[in-house]
Amino acid sequence: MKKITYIFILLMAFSVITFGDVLDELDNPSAYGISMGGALYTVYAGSQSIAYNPAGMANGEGGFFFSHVEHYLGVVRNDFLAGSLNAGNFYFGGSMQTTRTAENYLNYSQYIFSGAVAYRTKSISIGTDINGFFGTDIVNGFSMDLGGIFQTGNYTFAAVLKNALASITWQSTPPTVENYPAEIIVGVGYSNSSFDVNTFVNFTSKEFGAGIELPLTKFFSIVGGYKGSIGAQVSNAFSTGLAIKNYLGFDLFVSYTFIDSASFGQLLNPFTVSMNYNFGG
Amino acid sequence: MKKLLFLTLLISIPIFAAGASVILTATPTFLLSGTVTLTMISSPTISASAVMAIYNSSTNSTQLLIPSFNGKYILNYDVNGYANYRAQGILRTPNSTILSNIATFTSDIPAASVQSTIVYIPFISNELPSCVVSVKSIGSKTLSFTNFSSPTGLSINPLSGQIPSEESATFSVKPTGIFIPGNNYTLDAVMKTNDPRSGLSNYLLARYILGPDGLVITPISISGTSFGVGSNLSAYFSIYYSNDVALSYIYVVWITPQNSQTSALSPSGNDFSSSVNMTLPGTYTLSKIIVGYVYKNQSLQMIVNPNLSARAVNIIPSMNIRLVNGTRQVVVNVSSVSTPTITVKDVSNSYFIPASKIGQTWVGTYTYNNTPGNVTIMSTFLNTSSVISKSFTKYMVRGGNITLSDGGWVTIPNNAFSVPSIVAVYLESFSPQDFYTGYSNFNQVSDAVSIVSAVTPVASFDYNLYFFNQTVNGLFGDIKIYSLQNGNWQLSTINPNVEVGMQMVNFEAKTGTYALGLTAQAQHNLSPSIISFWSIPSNLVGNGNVYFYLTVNNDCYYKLYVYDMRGRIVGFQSGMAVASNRNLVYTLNPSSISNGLYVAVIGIGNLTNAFTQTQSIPFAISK
Repeated sequence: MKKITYIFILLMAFSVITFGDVLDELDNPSAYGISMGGALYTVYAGSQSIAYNPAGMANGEGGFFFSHVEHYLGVVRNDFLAGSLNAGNFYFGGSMQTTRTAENYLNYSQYIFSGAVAYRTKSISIGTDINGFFGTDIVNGFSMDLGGIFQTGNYTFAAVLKNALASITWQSTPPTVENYPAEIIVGVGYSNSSFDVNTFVNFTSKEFGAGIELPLTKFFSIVGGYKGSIGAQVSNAFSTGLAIKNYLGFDLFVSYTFIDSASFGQLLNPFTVSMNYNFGG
Repeated sequence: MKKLLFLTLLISIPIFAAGASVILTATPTFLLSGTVTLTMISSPTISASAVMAIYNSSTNSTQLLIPSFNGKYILNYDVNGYANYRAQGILRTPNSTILSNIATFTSDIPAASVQSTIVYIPFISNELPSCVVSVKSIGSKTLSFTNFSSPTGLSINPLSGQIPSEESATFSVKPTGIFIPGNNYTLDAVMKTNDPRSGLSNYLLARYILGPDGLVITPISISGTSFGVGSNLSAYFSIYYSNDVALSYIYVVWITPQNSQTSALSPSGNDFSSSVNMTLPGTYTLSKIIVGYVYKNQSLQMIVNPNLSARAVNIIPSMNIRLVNGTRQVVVNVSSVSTPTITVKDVSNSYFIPASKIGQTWVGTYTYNNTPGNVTIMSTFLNTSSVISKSFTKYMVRGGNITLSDGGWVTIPNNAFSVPSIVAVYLESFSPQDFYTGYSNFNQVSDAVSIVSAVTPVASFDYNLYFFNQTVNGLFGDIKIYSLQNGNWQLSTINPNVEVGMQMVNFEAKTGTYALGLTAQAQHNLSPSIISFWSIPSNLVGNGNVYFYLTVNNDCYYKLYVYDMRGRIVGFQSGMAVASNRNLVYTLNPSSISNGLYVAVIGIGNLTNAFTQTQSIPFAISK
């Protein structure tokens, strides 16, 4: 445990030696995550947690997850496939994420391959994953995520160090290496039988978000969220979503998002669908 | 209560005894507790049977006393607690005449208990200590107060307010005036209250006794807050000290964008200055003034942190001249952070043009003479080697063509001027732009030509102004004439005749300043559509900017956002786009953003904030 603490502190320190802006990746690829305003860091969401907080992967017996997102009037498309498996207190997982442009104007694609491991006790879970980057303009790239979830009573707390040691070699002339600061993310959640609220703040990228899930029946929930960022220009996105959970082992998530709806008459990010299958039902 | 009613009925009987009266007085009339002296005196002095009744409002009771009265009766009445009192003295004279009088007093008042402080500061310095004073409201009513310094020089916080009964408040007192060593100062912080007691409405909060020894650095100022690179920033300050103080050394510490600079000043006299040359853009701060001195055989040091800052920016000086129609005047505007010297060479004679400073602009006026030829106005700048020169030409016209320097020309008809007149012609150069940018409502696409005369012409001239096809980009029908009115460009009602093949516009106008321009004119009844929206390049590899172009079918407003994959906005631009033109709507400098995939989203509409169509394009950056 001490070693992990030392590594965590080391990576936190490394995050101070920043190199500019954060890694430009699609970091909210799940319809569930989008409808929750990105606040999935405190949630044991199964294999989709690999994209948020690897500690959240430690849920149930594991399962498969797939999500398809069409961003910005459909010009950017993202597919996210993830899986996890339980072995005692340990969970092992992996994922593949592709981001590509949908029109002929630009032929572009990007791939992220991730391998993850998590360990869970009754009230605490820790996890880590490593990510490899490839793509049209990426020679190769690497990053590492570390996360933990701590549960006490109705409250859940999460701390994530995202994109630690992130470095990508870009296809330029000659190829250039760009390093990115590790992102410090903190989340707080509260859950009872009537609702589930989760929040997060990314201190490095200046993003924040909050989401609420209201179970209507045993299987069916409605979800709402807000994600914003503070920088040269403030952007905001309100989301709504539906969740069908653990119906014959399947979860289905649908989200509908309004990005900067005050500025544009049309919806930039209208529709996202995700599906999850839980081993063991 | 019955007794009080009886007494009230008694005094309600109008009784007039010629020449006899009784006076009842209470001293004091306001008090917190203690003794009130009630004095009843008759005039003339008579012996009578007397009654003294005292009503207490808090107990709602009346106390009756039947004293023996021989012209005067004094009662010492003890007051405790909060109440209003009403005393009535009644005399029955030997001839059964009843005399009466009333006096009131009260202990139901606001009052304060103040722990006054006396602060003795024998050595005056820049930093003088503050003190805190506690005040308790000890009366039965809320204490209202207003604080002031007598004389001025103390800051008291809070300045005014109220303290409810039995509650306390603290006041901070700090000397903030300018105190010159060598003098003695006594300043009182006074709280003026609504305490009605005589001589107790003002309370002393604190008394400061200052001096006479001391050393003070004041006032401290810098020569400005905004400068051009290359300018000198100066700090001015005075040091006042008493006779028993001797200065040893003075250091001034500047913080510049590059480092910290310390300069030593000669410790003699009272007034000092220090300068720093602003060689780099950035913030320059007068950080510290350090004064060493000897006082009572002790070597001491005083440090003051003024933290006064000024910014130095790279400003390229510029000069504009404007010929005033109907006169022979030319107005010269010079924008510069350093002082310009403006001279003029009028044909063969040279003059100095005095200029006055308005903000960062110097304005001068020159009246040119009646001789044909060139006039060159030149501006040079203190501490810099840059020189700006602008010229115009004076013609003696009797009708005929005037050929302008860039190949354009204007024809002045024979009947335009009744007598031979001097006409001044000035051409402003411009930088051709590849595309209409849409960043502003008016895009100048030709030289601006000024043709002015002191004599008003009776006929219009024939103007020809030239443009480049590239700047107009096929929008020949959108070319308009703009005229300069009182320093502002306005759309003229003059109808231009566009010669496309010659890249020339012909129009008729009298004297004035004219230019050709394009303007986007969004019309509410026309709904614009996006014909194309694209970026160049779509995949930036290496250094450079990403340019975004928009083509629309009707003039419109646009708003463009650039998002990263996290949904964060990394670029924004709004403006107007001209129909059918390839409008450069935004230039993204990717130096401050990461490599990766981005999306530009543009919305257009015929109102500034109502977009009827939105389109997005992805683009990638790999620096």
